[in-house]
Amino acid sequence: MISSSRRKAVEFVLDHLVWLLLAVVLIVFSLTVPNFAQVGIYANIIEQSTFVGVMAVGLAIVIIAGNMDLSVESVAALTAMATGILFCSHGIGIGYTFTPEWLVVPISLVLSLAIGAVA
Amino acid sequence: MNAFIVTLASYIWIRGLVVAVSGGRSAQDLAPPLRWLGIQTVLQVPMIAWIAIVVFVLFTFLLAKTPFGRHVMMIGGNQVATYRAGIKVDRLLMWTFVLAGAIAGLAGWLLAIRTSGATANLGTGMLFNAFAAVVIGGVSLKGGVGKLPGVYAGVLLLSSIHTAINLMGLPAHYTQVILGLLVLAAVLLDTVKHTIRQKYI
Repeated sequence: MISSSRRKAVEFVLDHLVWLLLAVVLIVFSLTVPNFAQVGIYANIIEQSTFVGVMAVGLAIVIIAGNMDLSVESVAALTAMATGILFCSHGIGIGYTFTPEWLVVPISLVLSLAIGAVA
Repeated sequence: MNAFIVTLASYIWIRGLVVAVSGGRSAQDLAPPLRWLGIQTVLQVPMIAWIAIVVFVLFTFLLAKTPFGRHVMMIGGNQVATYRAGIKVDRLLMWTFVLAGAIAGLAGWLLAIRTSGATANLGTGMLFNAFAAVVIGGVSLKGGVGKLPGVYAGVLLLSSIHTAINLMGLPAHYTQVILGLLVLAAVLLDTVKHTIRQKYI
């Protein structure tokens, strides 16, 4: 048997393994890869994480509940396309304009809610 | 109904719908206020990334501190026991899917305002990245185990590696090989974690 403080330490490391791994990877890359250690690069990494990150939240909830949702990517593509068609002024865009811009948020959200309910 | 098959079907027909509606063409030049939102930065970090972080914080709270979150965890752990405990399993599960759909919609919206438009193949391959992030983030595919901050760390890890590969000038084809190996490593790690837990704790 090991002491409870050691046990706590092991538990902590196991629980936060991803974060440690991320820290190690970032440090190693910053030291070895040329031009990696820049604020712009870090900001870019965070920006790149946006779309997959948001998608992963929904996916994680479904997986934690013991299920599987493969449709998240297509749902995202559909809302992107709907937003594109409705509010773009060029290409196939129709170019609807509202006076307050935030009206787009509820519209795309309601649309995706409907599709999410079907899946 | 098997959720895996149903969502696989949705994955296919919704993508088909996207291609059909757009006719394979793309839409450009989003309304100016949306475009403004897409390029705005706060503390050197883009606004849309902050939105993602807010989503993570919000749902971490939802999952850890509310009855809904605890019930979702319980269902993942043992569905029958949760049902016997008098919790409406079917309804809760439906809500998780609705929620996932809504969040995916948010992701699509962000994608559209970032690229200021939409193409028919926008976001292709993101599903597998999201899956990889979820697995690397320590969420068990058997359900009942997992925390959202870990998932965010997984996503950050993936994009760090992406960026490093780009900077090193390796051909982009290698990215996929490395990401695949990483997922494999994550699954192995999960097993190792389990073994350590049983041995020492």
